[in-house]
Amino acid sequence: MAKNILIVDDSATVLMSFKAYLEAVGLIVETADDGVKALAKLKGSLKPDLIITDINMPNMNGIELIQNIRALPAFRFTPILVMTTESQQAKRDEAKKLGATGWVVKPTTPAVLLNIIKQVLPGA
Amino acid sequence: MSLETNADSDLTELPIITGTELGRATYRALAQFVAVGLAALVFQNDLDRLLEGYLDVAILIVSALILIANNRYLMRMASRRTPFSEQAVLIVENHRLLDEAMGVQLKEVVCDTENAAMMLIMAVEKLNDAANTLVSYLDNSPMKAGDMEHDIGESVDFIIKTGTFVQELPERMKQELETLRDVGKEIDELVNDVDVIKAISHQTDALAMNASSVAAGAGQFGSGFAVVAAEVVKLSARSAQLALMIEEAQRTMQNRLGFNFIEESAQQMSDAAKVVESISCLHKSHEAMRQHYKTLFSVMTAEIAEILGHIQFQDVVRQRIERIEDAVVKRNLLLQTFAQRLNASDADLLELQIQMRAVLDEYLLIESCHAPVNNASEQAESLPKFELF
Repeated sequence: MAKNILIVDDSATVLMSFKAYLEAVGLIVETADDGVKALAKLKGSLKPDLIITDINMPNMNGIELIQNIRALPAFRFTPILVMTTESQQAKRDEAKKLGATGWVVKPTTPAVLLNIIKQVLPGA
Repeated sequence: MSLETNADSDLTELPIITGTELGRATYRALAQFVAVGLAALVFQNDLDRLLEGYLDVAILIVSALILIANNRYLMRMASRRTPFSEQAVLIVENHRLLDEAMGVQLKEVVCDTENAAMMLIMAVEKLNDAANTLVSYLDNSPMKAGDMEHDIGESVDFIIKTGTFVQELPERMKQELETLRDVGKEIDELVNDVDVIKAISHQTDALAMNASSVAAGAGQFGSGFAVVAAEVVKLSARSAQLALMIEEAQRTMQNRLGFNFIEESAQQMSDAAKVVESISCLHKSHEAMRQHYKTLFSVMTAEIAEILGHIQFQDVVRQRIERIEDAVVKRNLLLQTFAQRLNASDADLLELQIQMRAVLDEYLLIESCHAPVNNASEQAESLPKFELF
């Protein structure tokens, strides 16, 4: 069964480019352009196997989003990857403390991202 | 701005006079003094007579007038400029307007690159779909080619079997021919006997005629003999007829033993074998071509993924521009405050200086939080680009 991924980023080009690639390799991809919309989708019917989120976004940033996601019982153990241009250790530690599964620095190639996804989701 | 307006404003605000203007006015005054002095020397006697001893007083008055005129000249020059603080405000305002204009262009840059990137993504998606369709076709084509090859193989087997039969046919027919030829020889020998039969038949006819004649001469005692003689004649005729038939059959058989279609079939078999060889070469070429195109399209798919990866740089550029804009807005607010405080006599600019420094430090700190993209040496010192917790 194809794995379902939610990508949260305020950049339309990032959302489109990764969605195009990941769907081409057989994954099901949903997108949201900020944390508020992402949270609304998660509280609705969306049940992704993996969530990939940026940090710097309007309305609700990635750190707040991770916190809110972990507060939802259905997503306490869902893997969350942070994908951002930031690379400071302090931010990584903060994300890790809140429950993030991994950290990916942008820009990254879709092939590298797919490789990481396969490590986080073995069935992908 | 007129001199009167300057006079109405705060008296502590002195008009600004540049060094050049002061120098010019000084030279002008000196020139005027020299001119007056020379005139006084040249026309001293006439002026003494005219002024009746008040020449010195006249010179002093003229000098004073010269100084006053130059002072008014300087004031007129200065009155054309605004006070310092207003200049500072204007400078800041122009700076802000320039930043605003550049900001508009930067936003356009972000918008244009975003639109271009999205169009590029859509084009790449179509390219990827086309490549996948072709790869799928190439993946399925071996099955169809295999079915085709199987059918062709079966047909070839049939052709080969037929050809083998045809190839063996000459030998078999040769054997049959030999058998037939032996039969022919026997028939030839039989023809020799046919002549004997004919001769016997002829003699029998003659004998029967003699017997008939004798029987006729014997009267009623020869009637039985005449019947036997008649039957012998009939038997002789039938023998002669049989001999003719045998002769005819022998001639026919000899004609038919001369067929030569076997050589023609051998040529066709050779052509069929060549067809088999051609089909085999065609299949090998098709397989090689299929593998080649499959490799090409695999490379294309990988390159398409690379293109999609590079498109992310539009987002990196957008974020950098946004951080620059944030810092510029904060700086401009401080500059406006700076310009306003220049009006106050007790303006304390230290706090403003600290705030301006803070804007710079904050911008540099935020920039340092984001990974460098192109500088390899910086990348080597930074944290890993990917980490699983």
